[in-house]
Amino acid sequence: MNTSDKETKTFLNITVLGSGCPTCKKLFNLVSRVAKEMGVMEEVKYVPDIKKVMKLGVRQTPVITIRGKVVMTGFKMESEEEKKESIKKLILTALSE
Amino acid sequence: MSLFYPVEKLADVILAVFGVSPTGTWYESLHFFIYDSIKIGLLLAVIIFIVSFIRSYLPPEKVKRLLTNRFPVVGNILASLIGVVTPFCSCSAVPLFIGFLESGVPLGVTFSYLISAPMVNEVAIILLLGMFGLKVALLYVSSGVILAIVAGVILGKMHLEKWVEDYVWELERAEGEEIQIPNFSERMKESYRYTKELVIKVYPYVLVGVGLGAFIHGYVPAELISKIAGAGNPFAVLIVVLIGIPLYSNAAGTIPIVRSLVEKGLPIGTALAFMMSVTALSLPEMIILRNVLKPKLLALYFGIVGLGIVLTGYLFNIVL
Repeated sequence: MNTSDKETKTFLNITVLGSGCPTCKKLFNLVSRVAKEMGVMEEVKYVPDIKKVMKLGVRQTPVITIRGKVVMTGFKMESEEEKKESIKKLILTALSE
Repeated sequence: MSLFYPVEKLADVILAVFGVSPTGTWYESLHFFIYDSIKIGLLLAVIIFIVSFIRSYLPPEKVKRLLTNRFPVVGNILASLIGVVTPFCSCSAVPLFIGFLESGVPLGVTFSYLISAPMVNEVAIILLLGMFGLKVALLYVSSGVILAIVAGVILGKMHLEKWVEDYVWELERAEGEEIQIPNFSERMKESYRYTKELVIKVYPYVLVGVGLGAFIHGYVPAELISKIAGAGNPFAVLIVVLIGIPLYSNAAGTIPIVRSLVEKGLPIGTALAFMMSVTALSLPEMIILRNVLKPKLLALYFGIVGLGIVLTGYLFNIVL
């Protein structure tokens, strides 16, 4: 699949927000890895600031935003593979928008 | 505990297989270690599974609904009991706090939850049950719950809304999360995953703790403990509570050590106070709660909980 064309045109601005706890950090690392594997060139941002999350109107952490839009909240009890799949889907959806 | 008789036999067999002769301090310490590691492992797996299964019926949305519009003290009691079965970590503290307040849960009731959730810790209950028996485990749970109710009621009466960070009241109300109600097999699957994750995380600490406990059991003389923190030292409870604060999240490793110390003459109230301080008072939690509580309220919250723990310790030293 060729995502690199779209990549150059669009700016995804993938951000992981949380309270700075180990769970959020883990999600951030996973998202960075998935994004890199998919050929996304920009760095994934990490914002360990719980006030920002609250101001987004979300009451669960961690949160993933793409282009400023909340796309995932909370850390579900699922295997790493399942998590990777859902992150991949989020990025693909954003790329096709 | 006769329930664990097979485990005791298993420990005998394991040691026999490795050809350890069943005499002396070395054998006793080793037996102690194997027996406790297996027993605690089994208890962890079973009880965590049950607790997480119960918890699947208490998502945050439902808890909020349960806690709004209650008679004053009823709300505090409910919140304290729900706090027992729900996990608490520095990640979830702030969202929960704000979520409660904006759904109309009173501040005092919110505090009851905020005290009971970290104080009555499921891993601590399991270890107390396995190492001290039912009576001490129940004492731990009930004193934690009572403290949470009383402290919540007092804090509620003081009308401290002004000591909550201002932005909290200015936030736009979040839309309710969609709740998908899981079916039975999904609940089982989730509980299994949670159990697996938590046991893997906690068990290494248990092993280290049991190992140190086994060493104390075999080699540390009883007079040493009674001299330092025994019934004769009036400041013992206070001192152990202070030691407990930085040991947060290591309840799993701490309790096996404490058990051995109790065997060597550490009074049970002092031991309980220590364990409560390990689970309830933590620096990461304090830092994260500073996001929503002004310094005065934060200090008051920790002060009340700390004082409650110290009093509980002295009370049990007198009563037991």
